Amino acid sequence: MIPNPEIQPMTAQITPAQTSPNQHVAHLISAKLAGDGLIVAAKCAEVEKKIAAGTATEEDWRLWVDLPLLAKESKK
Amino acid sequence: MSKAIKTLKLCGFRGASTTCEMHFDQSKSLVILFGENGTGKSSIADAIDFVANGTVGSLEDRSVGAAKLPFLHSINMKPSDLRVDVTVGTGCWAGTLAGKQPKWTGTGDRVKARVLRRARLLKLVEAQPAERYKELQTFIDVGNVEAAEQSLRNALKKTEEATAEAVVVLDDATKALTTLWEKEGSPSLNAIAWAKAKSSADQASLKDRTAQLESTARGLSSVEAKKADLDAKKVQLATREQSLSGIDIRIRALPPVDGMQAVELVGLLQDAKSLLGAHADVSACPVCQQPVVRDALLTSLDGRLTVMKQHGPLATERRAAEQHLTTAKDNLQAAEIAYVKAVQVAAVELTSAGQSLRSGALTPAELTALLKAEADHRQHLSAALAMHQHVLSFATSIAATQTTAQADLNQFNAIKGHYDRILANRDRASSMAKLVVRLRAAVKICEDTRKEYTQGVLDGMQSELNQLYSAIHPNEALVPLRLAMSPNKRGSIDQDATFSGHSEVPLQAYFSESHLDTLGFCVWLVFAKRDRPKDTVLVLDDVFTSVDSVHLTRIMQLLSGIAGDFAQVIVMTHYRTWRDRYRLGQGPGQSVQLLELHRWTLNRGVCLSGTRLAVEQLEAVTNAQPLDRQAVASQAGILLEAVLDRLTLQYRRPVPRSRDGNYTLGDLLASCKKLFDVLAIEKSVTASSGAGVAAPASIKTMMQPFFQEAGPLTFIRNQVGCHFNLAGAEVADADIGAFGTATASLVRALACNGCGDIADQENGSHFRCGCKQTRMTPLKYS
Repeated sequence: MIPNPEIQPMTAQITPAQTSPNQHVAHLISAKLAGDGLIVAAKCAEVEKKIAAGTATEEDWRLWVDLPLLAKESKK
Repeated sequence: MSKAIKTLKLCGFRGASTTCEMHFDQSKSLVILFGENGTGKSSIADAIDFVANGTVGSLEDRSVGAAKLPFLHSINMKPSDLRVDVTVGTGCWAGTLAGKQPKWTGTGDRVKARVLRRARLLKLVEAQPAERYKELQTFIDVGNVEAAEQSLRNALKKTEEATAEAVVVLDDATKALTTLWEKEGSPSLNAIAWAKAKSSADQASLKDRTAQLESTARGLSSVEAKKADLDAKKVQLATREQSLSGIDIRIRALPPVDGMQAVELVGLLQDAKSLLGAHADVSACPVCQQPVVRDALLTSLDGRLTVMKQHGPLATERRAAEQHLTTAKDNLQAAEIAYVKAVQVAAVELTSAGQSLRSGALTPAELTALLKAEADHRQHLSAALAMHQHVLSFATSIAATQTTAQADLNQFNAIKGHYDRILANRDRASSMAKLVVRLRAAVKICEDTRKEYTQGVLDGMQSELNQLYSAIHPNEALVPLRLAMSPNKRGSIDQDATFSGHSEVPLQAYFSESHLDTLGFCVWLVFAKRDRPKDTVLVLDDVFTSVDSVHLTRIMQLLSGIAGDFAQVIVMTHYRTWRDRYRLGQGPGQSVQLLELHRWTLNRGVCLSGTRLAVEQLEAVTNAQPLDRQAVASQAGILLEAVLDRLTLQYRRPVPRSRDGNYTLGDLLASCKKLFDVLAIEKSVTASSGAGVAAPASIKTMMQPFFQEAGPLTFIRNQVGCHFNLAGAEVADADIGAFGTATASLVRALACNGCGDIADQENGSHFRCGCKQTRMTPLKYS
């Protein structure tokens, strides 16, 4: 392949409407986690975004998964 | 907007030694570009690759050294003359060589093309699992999800560890508390209840009491220490006094003057000498004011001091002894004060600790005065000494009480410490155990979802791959092909097949070369279909070289079927058969643009022209004036032969056996005569209803009249079109024209108006063409 600075990478032509595998799988995961009550619905968007970007930390996970428990405890 | 190539213009590129321009029919997504070997097919494919992908095309696979660019331009032209223009949709892009570097410029859409060459076919099949993964990475890579999942796994691992740690602490604290509880004789219901009750005790008062006792004990110790110090100071004073007395005795014993006076006098004389030595202008005695002569007086002083020099050391020694005595008196005084204070403090502590002091040798007033003394403690020394033994008599009981109190406090601290740890870790272990369960469930969801997605994509591709492969090689044992993520290697895709019940067999071990070719093509096609196919132009550069007639038919059908999925499919081939099949109504020629490359020379470069379908060519020559009698007769005969040959094969019609396997037009006509009595074609048309809405409809046509029209005229083919025959000259132009027209009409009626093919795919009770617009019945005829 001849290096060519004038050619835009093909991926750049992907329209915003298309979702990457990471985004798609992150969406499925956050929906399933919420469906199983492992995260609160209000956190779905944040969870999805961080999973898709690969930036979810250990602390994020503990907080997300612990939050429904805390909410349940506080209602008691 | 279609992303198909509209025009392609080559100048000075590879074989294009002159300017060559080609226009592509935008209504036809499949282009067959026929050219014999060496006519420039690869130059065209390379030109598209050059502009679309920035590659040197087929030169990549050729052994021309590392530098390929010097071979990109035509041999008779300069690199700067090289130029390839491609127009697609709204865009027009050009590839050139600027000096030694390629350059691409343009605006709007740029052609997106995938070019497949024969050299790459086997590489696709034999690619390493990692290379295969790389090809598909865009569609299945979920690296970010994997990173987030790894964080989740780490969170689970650490929470599990912390839970285990909390459980260990809980167990240890429980065991320790139980031991304490049992030592106490197991009171209460259980150790926890006991600890709970014990922990509720007033820890502050326990601490205060212990501190009080500690303070009292310290006070008593201090009394003892201060008393010892006081005694020591007394001894010291006595020693100093004895020392001074001894020196005085020695002084008195000195002759001839009174020792004591001598000593005092020596001191006085030395002082006077020092004064005179320091002041040179002294003229009068500083004591009596009598006039003196300084030097004479100094001489006199030295004389007297010499006489009394033995008194000097004793005088010095005595002054030191006096100093020591003064210090000893001061020390004793301080020790007395400290002692009185210590007794006072101890007495007050004992009183605070609830001990009852007896006055003993003191009057109550003296005791009270001692306890309240704030200044001049020395006057209470005798009172303190009188109380000394009484105060110290409490030491043993205070020490015992202190030990008990400290033990109580230690016990309390131990119980409370274990109890608090139990409470804290019991809750912690419980909540973390719940968290572990939830984190574990989250890990499972992440992992399952990720794997399902990835495998789902691969399954889809695998299914598609098997479908494509089976379309070319139906009913073969070497299926299904399998694509799966390598279980032990990240970023790798395994590919294998099941062969006669044996799973996971390597393809290369069992596939023939032509099968591997076909498989490589199918793999490439599946990959291409995943990457925005509607924006993609596929270019097949003479990929199939060893395909037999049966497989060629299936490949043609496959390409016709998938062409609509892509922006454009350009097939380059040196197989004339491939072109002729379309041309002679053996394939969906109506939906295909046929182009033909002609002989290449350096001066002429790449030359091409469009190829008409045989029926179009026949109609053209039939309608032309003056009539080319031989051309019409010949072309009509060949076209009719081709169509009838196909029908006899499709309906398995009997024809007279011949040694060379060739059949005459007469043989074919006779074979098909009865078939045409029942042969019917049904073509879909779009009818407009009253409401203006298009409704699907069809028109059925019986083929028998067309056969009756053409059949009787077929003698013209031999008499006029093929052989020298004087009788042929007697055939009228009108009859020859009628033969041409009847043949063209028969072919037009038989072939689909949409794709141009004869319906040949079995579908229920009829045959159906590739574009599904035309049906043919019967399905079987015998």
